[in-house]
Amino acid sequence: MESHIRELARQLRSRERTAKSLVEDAFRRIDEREETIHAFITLTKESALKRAAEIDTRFDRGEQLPLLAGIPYGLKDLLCTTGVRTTAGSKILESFIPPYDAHVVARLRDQGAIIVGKTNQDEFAMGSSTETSFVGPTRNPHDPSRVAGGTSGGSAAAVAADMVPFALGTDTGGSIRQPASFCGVVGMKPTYGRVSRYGVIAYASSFDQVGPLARTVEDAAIVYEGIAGPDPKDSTMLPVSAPPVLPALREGMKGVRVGVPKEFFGQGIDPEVETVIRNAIRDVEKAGASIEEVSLSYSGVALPTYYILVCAEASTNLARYDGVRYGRRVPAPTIDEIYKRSRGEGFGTEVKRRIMLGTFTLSSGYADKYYRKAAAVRQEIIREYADVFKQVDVLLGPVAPEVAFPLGSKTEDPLRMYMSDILSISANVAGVPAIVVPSGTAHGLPVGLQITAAQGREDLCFRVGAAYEQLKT
Amino acid sequence: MSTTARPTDVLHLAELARLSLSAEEVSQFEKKFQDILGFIAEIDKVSASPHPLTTTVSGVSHRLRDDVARPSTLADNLIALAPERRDRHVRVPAVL
Repeated sequence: MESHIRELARQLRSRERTAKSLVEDAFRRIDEREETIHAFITLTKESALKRAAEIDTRFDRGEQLPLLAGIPYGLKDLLCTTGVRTTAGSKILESFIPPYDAHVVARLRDQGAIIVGKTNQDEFAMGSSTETSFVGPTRNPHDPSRVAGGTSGGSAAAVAADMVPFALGTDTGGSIRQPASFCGVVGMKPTYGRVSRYGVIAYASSFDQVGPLARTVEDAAIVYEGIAGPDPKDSTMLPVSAPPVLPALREGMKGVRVGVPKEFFGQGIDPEVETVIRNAIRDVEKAGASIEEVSLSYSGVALPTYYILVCAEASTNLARYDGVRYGRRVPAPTIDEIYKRSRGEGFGTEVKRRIMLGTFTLSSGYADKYYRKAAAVRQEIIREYADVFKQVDVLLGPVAPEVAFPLGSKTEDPLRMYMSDILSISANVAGVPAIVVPSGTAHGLPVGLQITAAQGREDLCFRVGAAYEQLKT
Repeated sequence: MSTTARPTDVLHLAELARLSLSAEEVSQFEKKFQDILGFIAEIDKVSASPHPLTTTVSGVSHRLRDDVARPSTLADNLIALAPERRDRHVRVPAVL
């Protein structure tokens, strides 16, 4: 499939197109569809046009610029941007203007990519549908009565609606991959520690990762290479340069050893979704990969393990929103009341729920039974994934048990909403990379195929993703 | 705060987490909390030794840099974000 980014880059260099016209196009498409889709929290048209003019001057001078120069993109509102409101989808940060850029934002700016706006998301990246944002939901471009998925729903919808060629999202439990599946685009979560979290508003620090959403695997790979690699400001990073992945795009399917975890098909999966994925696996086999069934025996407890750990980490990470140094402050006569009222009024229901759950699992008398036990189970899951990747190169399966569900259909029942994550969270628990590639439709709505590899093996995700994409073209 | 409050008491947890909740929110949370606790208790189904506790995911830990002070331009920008300020201080009600 043709890389949109490469084609736009070619047009910019031949001067068939200007960066200004690409940005204007983006805003034209946003004007056409944004009222329905609501992919953005904040649009940055003025600064985008200014940046485009700078890039055009440099192109006109014949300067050699990086591949992403002049390319417009959407940025999840969880990432700090100097001078541009950054809300994390929350009222408590409704007027927050960061004085610094996230590392990945600075990297893309140095390469000349142009932010058109901050995309919508569930509040503090907690959710599975982009329905808990303080500005309201993002709607699925394929069917506006349905969710775009979450928490990077705005980013996925902006790409699916052709507003921008790529967007950045974050993925803590599937928040790039599930919206990619729901919206029919490519979404990729790197290995934990591969992309810097500096300037990414923290939800669960040992799970969060930044990643690309795009129309094609190659575009996702180009963006991934543009943001991956060590940053001294994030001490959880892998201490090695990120190996290039673009060469792997041409390696093809032959000889790839594929594992299909049997547990991924028992979890209440929609039968039509299962059919799409099973067909995909058959296609992959016909293209020269070997397929074998594998077992991930901890799959049954991965979801509670995940929720215990992320809520514990979130309760700690969100303690900083206290109305004192930044963000919303509700005036009160005592400091304790400032904390409680600022947080009480600033946070939404789901955020409060997860903070309280995390508080509980870390509390005296319960920390051993819940938090420490979950941390130990996590180590078993990490080990189990490492072991399975000695047998096979990649795992194939669905990323969600369903297609995009109707708006409001799960908001009354938090547990039902948590179940949406059942197939996506394991990659975050294990810290491994995974990519989702459009694979067909069920009930007329997109279904994505999830390709998971061992820690550090983004190249295999992109290789198999690209080879599969070729089959579908 | 009652010392005999049940640990899963929503009001108690809200107090620990410094969250003010409306009466409606308390009732809403109480309804769902027991279900969620039942769900997370499923980790009892498997065995895994919690000792020694480790939370590293990718094997990276304890990465330190030299303790060298560097000039930063951020301080004034950060103080400027405070909802209430006096000079270069963040202003809050008396703590003591």
